[in-house]
Amino acid sequence: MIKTIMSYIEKLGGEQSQCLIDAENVNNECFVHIFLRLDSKTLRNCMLACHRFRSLLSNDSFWVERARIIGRVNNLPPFAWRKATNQKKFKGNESGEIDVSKFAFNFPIMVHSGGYSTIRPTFFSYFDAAPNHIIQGIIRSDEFKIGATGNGIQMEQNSGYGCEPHTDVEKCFAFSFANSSIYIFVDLVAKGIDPWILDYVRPKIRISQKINHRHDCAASLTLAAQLNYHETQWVQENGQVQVSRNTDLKRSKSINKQWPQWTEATWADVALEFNNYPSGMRHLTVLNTGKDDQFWQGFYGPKIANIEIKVILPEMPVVRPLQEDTERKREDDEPHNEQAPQFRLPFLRGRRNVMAIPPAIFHNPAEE
Amino acid sequence: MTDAKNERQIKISSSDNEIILVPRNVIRLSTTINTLLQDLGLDDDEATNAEPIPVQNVAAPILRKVISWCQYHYQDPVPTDDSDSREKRTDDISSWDTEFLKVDQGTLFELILAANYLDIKGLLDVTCKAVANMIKGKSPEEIRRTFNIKNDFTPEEEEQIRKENAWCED
Repeated sequence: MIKTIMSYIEKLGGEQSQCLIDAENVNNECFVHIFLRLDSKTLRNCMLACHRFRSLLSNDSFWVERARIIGRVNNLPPFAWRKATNQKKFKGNESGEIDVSKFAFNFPIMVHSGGYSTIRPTFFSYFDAAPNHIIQGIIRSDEFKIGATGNGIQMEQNSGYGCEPHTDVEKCFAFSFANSSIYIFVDLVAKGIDPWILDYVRPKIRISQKINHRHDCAASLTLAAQLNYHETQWVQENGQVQVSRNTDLKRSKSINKQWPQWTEATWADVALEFNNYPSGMRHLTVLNTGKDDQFWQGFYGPKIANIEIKVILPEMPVVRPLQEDTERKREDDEPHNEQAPQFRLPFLRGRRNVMAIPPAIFHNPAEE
Repeated sequence: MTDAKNERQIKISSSDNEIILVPRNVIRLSTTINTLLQDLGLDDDEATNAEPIPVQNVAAPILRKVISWCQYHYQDPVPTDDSDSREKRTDDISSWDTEFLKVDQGTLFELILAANYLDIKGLLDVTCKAVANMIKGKSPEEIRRTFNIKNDFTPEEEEQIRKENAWCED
């Protein structure tokens, strides 16, 4: 009997414990358990401590487990993709035409920065902090730019004034009488979408939101999106067309919507999907620009809510040959144009796409 | 509530051959021993097992400490799957556990090794949290000192790691 027990225990593994404790006497598993309970910065410092720690923290399974523990499994690519990437076996590459030997997921960035989970823009907090939840003028960060003319853009609660209530709409953003815009900039690689994925897989990128207007006022809205190489972030040559009519190009798409006065104010879903874009895309810009069509004082313009961006990998792990860009624009090759001296004021960047500047009489700063 | 004293006792022996009696219900927290008892069909016997179960990786002082932890915690509710998110917090160590963990670093690591070997999830969690708290926010050099590690990186390698992990700066 004792023999059976002994062999059973041996099978369970484990090293002989000793009384002298330093890192040498602690097995890897224990360190992994400790690392799983650390914050990102301390983890980085552990990687810098020694080769052994670094290799423990380079293990994909550590990051998958960490994602589970901190509740971020949605950041990870689906299991089939992790498996295919591990084995370097992808559909569409049976003949080995594409060199997949270096294809690997960067799990730390993915787990830390969002990866394949739904991206929800962060500009909301600026409205929370603004007086009356209204933003006027221009606010810019790495992740968004709000350019609000007229009365500005207002964040409204409970499905918005003058709109039919909708259970999914808790807060929305209402435009005023002059064209104002909200740009959202997504650095896909910084989010943890690996460059090889963007080049050789080109997963579907979906932008969705809800839109509405006040039933008592006519309004118009453009939802536009572009895929870009650089942090140029908004290619005017495409953008001007996008806000004037519906476009459906490989790198730039838009939906233009007009509501007449006295039409039903129900919340509707709109979405843009990129499926067939060229290789080399690294950044996504999403633009909402709108105004009311009757030049009324206040926030009678269109309303948007629940903006979401998602990178959706195909179910089957597949790679495709590189795809050439047939829509390359001058601005793609001169990405730093905007930062030339004549545009010193960063505030004025992108001002050119305010399509309509209202007559001065409608602008009433005395209201403040 | 079941009185642990009336429960069946299990005999286990430490790596230094000390035999310890522990109530069946208390040692249930150790998945390793629990599975062992079930797999070897020792769970049907009413009587105490004649042969002690050898816990060959854990010395008696640590084993006694582990059992005292189990004795305090064996009636805790079984954690469900969605309690996983609790694990990321390291500031939720109960006051009893804090007292329990007031030991030298050597003992703390022995406890982690024992909890890992005996597969006692709660004890592993709390001991790892205690160590995590010790190194949280520390520099690489401080971490090396804590674990008695030598720096085996070249400056170039160090630079490379910093570059690869710039994401964690925000």
